[in-house]
Amino acid sequence: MTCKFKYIRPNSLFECLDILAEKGSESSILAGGTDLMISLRNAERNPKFVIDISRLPETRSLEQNGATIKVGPTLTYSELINHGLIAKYFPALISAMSCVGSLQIRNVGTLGGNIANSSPAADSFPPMAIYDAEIMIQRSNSVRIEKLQKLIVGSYKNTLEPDELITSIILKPLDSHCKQTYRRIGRRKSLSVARINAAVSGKLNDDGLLDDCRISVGSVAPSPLRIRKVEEALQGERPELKVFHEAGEMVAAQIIELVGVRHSTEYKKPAIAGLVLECLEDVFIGRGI
Amino acid sequence: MDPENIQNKPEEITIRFYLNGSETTVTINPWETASEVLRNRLDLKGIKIGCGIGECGACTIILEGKTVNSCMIPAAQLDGRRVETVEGLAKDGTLNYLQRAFREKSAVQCGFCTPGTLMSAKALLDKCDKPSREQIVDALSGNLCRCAGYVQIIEAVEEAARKKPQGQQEEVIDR
Repeated sequence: MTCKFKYIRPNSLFECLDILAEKGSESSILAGGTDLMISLRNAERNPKFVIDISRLPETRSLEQNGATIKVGPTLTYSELINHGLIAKYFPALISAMSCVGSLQIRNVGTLGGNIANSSPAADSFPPMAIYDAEIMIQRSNSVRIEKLQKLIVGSYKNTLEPDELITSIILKPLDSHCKQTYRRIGRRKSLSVARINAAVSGKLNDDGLLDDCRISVGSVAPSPLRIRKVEEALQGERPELKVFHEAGEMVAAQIIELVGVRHSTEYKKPAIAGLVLECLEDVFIGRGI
Repeated sequence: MDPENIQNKPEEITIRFYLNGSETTVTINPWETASEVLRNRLDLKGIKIGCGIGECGACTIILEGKTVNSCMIPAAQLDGRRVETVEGLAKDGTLNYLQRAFREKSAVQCGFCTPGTLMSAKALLDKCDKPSREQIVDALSGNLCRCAGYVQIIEAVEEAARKKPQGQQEEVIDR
């Protein structure tokens, strides 16, 4: 049974935060709607109010702010994929966003919505984790900034309060010598949810050794992960297949240690190792962007 | 009379938008999707509701020049926007060049996916005169054809691109 609600479309961020302060606990926030509409139809959520922020001008800008890029949360995937600044600094994020659903979904789906929905299989999370993404969150009388990995605390769980709104996503470009990549394993190319996804970046130092490696794996744990132990282990190593193989296996072992052995472990362990290996090859042996 | 029907309906809203070039005003419930309003209130039965979760693309319409799944957006979001549906393609009973190409290349088997596929093809050809095969496949990848007539559909779009009349680019606004 479809949930019945009142539709509110505030004209400014100020107005929106005011409405959330009063009605936040009885409201759902609508941006692209690709997740929300389904859960409303199935009455998995029963808000009294749906607040449409998709046209809020304050949430639709993209600007360079010194060393960071501030991304408006209601910009759609299509808008971001076609944006010069995103193409310049965040090609792995573009690869990831290009995997989301279908063109029809990318034309309405938003990065802010992806974060607020907090699906463990979100395509955008691994790249955002390697860019050390921070999320700016506002309520009518305060602002906080959280790291993505802090904000998302579990599968479809985050620390957003009912009166809070994501108002920008702050991404830090990698060192200009770094290469980056994104890969995912899904059941088919289009219209699938990632089974495993990963983003990797890094560069070679003056001695030709691995430097500033970053590895993030998604869909296999409840929230986005940076695999710091393996990142550290790779520092100063030679860019050799043997090293990448071992790194892949270390990442797989780390994730299993974290989430425990499950029915899917037999498949996922070699699949994670293989995906990380391919990503490291992308970055250090050529195909990386 | 059923007292339910006498009460005001406080949630109802009126939206105004441009539907296939004509200004259209309709009163809706906020929980109605764009596909429900277009099909049921405005009688545009070309919009098909297949999966209801954005996987099949049968409900594809063009909103402000971009394809969207009309089953997944609330009709309220059409307010003030330009909307194109398959019903806007033929003019005065004459099929448009895309529809003719679909017929010539036998790109229609059961026909259920056709309206949505036509709209995806239109959005592509409105922006791009000579799409590559890869661009066509990409543009159509959100439209499932369970008859699996993909080869014919792709060939039809290629044919349409060749035969596209100049000036068919109906006021595309790039955002």
